[in-house]
Amino acid sequence: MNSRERVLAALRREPVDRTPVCNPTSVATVELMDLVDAPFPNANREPELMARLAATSYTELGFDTIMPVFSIIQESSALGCKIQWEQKDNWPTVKMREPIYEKPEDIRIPADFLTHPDTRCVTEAIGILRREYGNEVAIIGKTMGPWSLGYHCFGVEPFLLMSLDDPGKTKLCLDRMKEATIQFGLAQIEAGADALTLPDHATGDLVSGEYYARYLRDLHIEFAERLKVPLILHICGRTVDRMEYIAQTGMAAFHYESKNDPAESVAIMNGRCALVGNINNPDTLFSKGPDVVRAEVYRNLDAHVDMVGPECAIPLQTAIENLKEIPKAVKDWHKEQIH
Amino acid sequence: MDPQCHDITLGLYRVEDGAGPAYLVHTYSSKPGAAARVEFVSGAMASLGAMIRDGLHLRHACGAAHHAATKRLFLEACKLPSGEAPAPRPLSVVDKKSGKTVTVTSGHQVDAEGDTARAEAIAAGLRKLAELNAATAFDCGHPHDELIGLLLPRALNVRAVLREEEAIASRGLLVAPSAQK
Amino acid sequence: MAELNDITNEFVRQEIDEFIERPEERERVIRLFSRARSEMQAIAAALIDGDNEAVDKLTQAALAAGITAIEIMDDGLIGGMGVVGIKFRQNFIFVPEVLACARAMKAGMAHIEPILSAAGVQKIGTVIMGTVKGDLHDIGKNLCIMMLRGAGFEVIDLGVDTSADRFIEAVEEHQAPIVGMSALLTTTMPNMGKTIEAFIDADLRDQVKIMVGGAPVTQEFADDMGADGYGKDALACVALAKQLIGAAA
Repeated sequence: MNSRERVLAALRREPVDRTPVCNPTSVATVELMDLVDAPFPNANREPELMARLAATSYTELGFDTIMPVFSIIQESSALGCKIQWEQKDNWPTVKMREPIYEKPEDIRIPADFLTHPDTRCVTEAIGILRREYGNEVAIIGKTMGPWSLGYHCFGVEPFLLMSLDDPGKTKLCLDRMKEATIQFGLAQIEAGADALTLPDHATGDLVSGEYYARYLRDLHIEFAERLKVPLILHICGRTVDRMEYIAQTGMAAFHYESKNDPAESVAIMNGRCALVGNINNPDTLFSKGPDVVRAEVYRNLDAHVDMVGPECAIPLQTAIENLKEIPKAVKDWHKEQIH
Repeated sequence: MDPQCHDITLGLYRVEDGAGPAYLVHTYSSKPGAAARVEFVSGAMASLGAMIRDGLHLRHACGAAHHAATKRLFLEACKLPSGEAPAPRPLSVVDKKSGKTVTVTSGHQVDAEGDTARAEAIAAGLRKLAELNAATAFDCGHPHDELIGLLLPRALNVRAVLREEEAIASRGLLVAPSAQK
Repeated sequence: MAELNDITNEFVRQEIDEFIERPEERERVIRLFSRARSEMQAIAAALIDGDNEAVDKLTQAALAAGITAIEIMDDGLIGGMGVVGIKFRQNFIFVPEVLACARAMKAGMAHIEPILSAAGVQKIGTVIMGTVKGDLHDIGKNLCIMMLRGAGFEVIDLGVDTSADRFIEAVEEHQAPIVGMSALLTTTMPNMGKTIEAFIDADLRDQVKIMVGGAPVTQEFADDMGADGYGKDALACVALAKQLIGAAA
C-alpha cells in the first residue's frame, strides 16, 4: 500500500498494512519553513509556498498525508473578516472583536468567495500538490464548519450568547453559513483533495455535548452526504460526551484531542467512525523528547486508534525530531506485533 | 527564531558521535548569512560555556552531556548579535530579594553575605537548573565555572525551589508529644 | 450550623441542593445565603438564572431601599457568581450559560461600581491581565477579570494579542505585583514561556508573580514555563491571586 491507499482505506475503516500517520490539521513548524524557504505568513497566502511547506509532512517527516491549509482563517477572510496575518512564528488569526455579522440577514456568501485570494490559494495549492505527488500520498483539504465560522463572523461571545438567547435564530445563522462550508469543500474536492478536514469547534471547553446534538449533528450529517469525499471532523478539547452523536453523523473520521482517553474513545466509536489523533501538543510534542512521543503513539496503537497523529495543529516551535518520531514509532509498533 | 539573522530558526541538536555526547547548532535555512550565524552561535557557546569545538560538534571537556545547562547556554548565545565578543559571566551577582551580593566560590559553595537560608535557596536553584548533585556539583567532577556563572542570575528565581520553600515554611514543625507544651 | 432550609429563596435552595456537592463548599455557600437577607438571595437567584434584566431591577431596588453597595456585591452578585463558578467547574453548565450569568453580573455591577469607586474602597492589589501574543480569545480572561474585580482587585486589562513588552510596560507603569496570562490555543501557549523569559531578561521577574490559565494549559505546562501558579478556572484564578498577593483567601 502507498500512503494514499493506506489513508483512504483507514478512512473507510478497511484493513491496512500499517496504521497511517496523519495530521488532519497542520504540521507546519518554523524549522520546516526554513527548510523549504516558505515562511508564515506568506505560506498562508501564496499557493506555491503553501504547497511547498505542506509537502514537508510527507517528504521530511514521513507522514502519510499532506495538508496545506495550516490556518483556520482562509474562508473567513473571503467572507469579509479582518485578519491579523502575524509573522513567521505566529498563526494568522481572525479579528473576532470586529465581527461582520449581527443577524441571519447579514449572512451572504460573496460572489467572489471561491475566487478570493485566500480561498483560491488553497485550491491552487491542492492542484499543485496533486500534480506533484499524483496518487502516492493522501492530500487533505479543510473546510470550516458553520459553528467555527460563527465564532469568526459574529465574535465568540455574541455567538455563544445568541445560542442561549435565541436557538431558532442561531439555527438559521448556521443554516446560512453552512453554504460557505459546502462551497469551499466542493471547490477543494474539484481541485483534487482526497479527503476534507471539517473543523467545527463545538469544544467541550465551551459548550455541552447536548449543544452538539441540538445544533450540529444534523448539519454534519448533511455535510457527510453532500461532500462526497471522506470527512474528518475536528473538535478540540474533551469530546467523549459528544462522540456518540458524532458517530451517528456519517463522518469518516474524528480527529480527537489528548484530553480524551484513546481506549474510551475507541469503545464509544465502536467501528462507526474512525479515530485520528491524539498525541498531546503542548506537554509532549512541544515540551518533551522523542521517548515520550513514542509512548503516546504506542498508547494510541494499543487502543486500536485508526490513524495516529498530533491532536491538533502543532505549535510552530515544535522540534522536527519529535514529529519524525511518530511514523518511526508506528512502524516499530507494527514490527513488534509481528514478532 | 533569530531576529539577528533574517528570523531564521536555530536549533540545538544532541548528537552521539564516537567520542560521546555532543551538540550541534543547526539551521534548516539556506538564507544568506545563515551558515555564518550558526558558526557564530557555536563559537559563542564555546567561549561562554568553555565547550570544545570538534568539527561542527560541541562537547564539554569532561565528556558529559549536561543537557539542561547546555540548553541554557545555547539560548544565551542566540541572544548575542553576530560579531559581539561574548563576555564570560561573573560568579557573583546582586540579589534583589535579599539585597545581598551572592557569590559562588570554587567548589560551588554559595554565599549570600551570611544569609544562609537565601544561599541555600540559590544553591537549590542551581542544582535544579544545571542538574547538579546534592553537593551542588556536576556529577562529572569538573567545576564548569563558566556554566555556573551563566546560570547564577536565573538561580535566584527558580520557581519550583521557591514554591518548595514556601510549602516547607507553611507546613510547620513536627514536635514530639513529650516536647509539646 | 446553618441548614439548607434556613435559606428562604427556593431557587437558591434548589440550586445548592442539586449542584453543590463538595461538603466544604456546600457548608460555605449555605452559611453565606442563610445569613443573607431575602433581597440578596433574590439577586443571587436571578444571576444564577442568567437573567440580566431581573438583576438590573433588583439591584436598583436594593440600593433604593438603603442596602449598601458592598452588601449587594458580596451577598448578591458575588455570592451568586460563586454558585455559577462551581456549576461550571463541575460541567453542569458551559460557557454560554456562564456568559449569560456574567452579563447579569455586569448589569448589577453597573450600579454598584460607581458607588464603590466614589467611596474610594481600598483595592487589595493590582493585577495585569492579558491574552498572550497571537491569541485573540478573551472569554476566559474576561471572566477571570470580572471575578478578580468582584473580589476587590484592581485589574488592568491589556486585552488580547498582548506582546511581552506590553506586559512589562504595564507592570512598570502600574507597579503591579501580579500578572495573569491567558491562552486558548495550543499553538499560542509557548508565548507564555516567551513572556516569562522577557521578564527575566528585563530583570523584573523577581518583582512579579505570574499566573497562567486557559483551556489547554495545565499545571505541568505552567511549571515548565516557569510560572508561579496555574488557575483552572475563574474561581481558581481569584484564589490563586489572593494566595500570590498574600491576602487571606
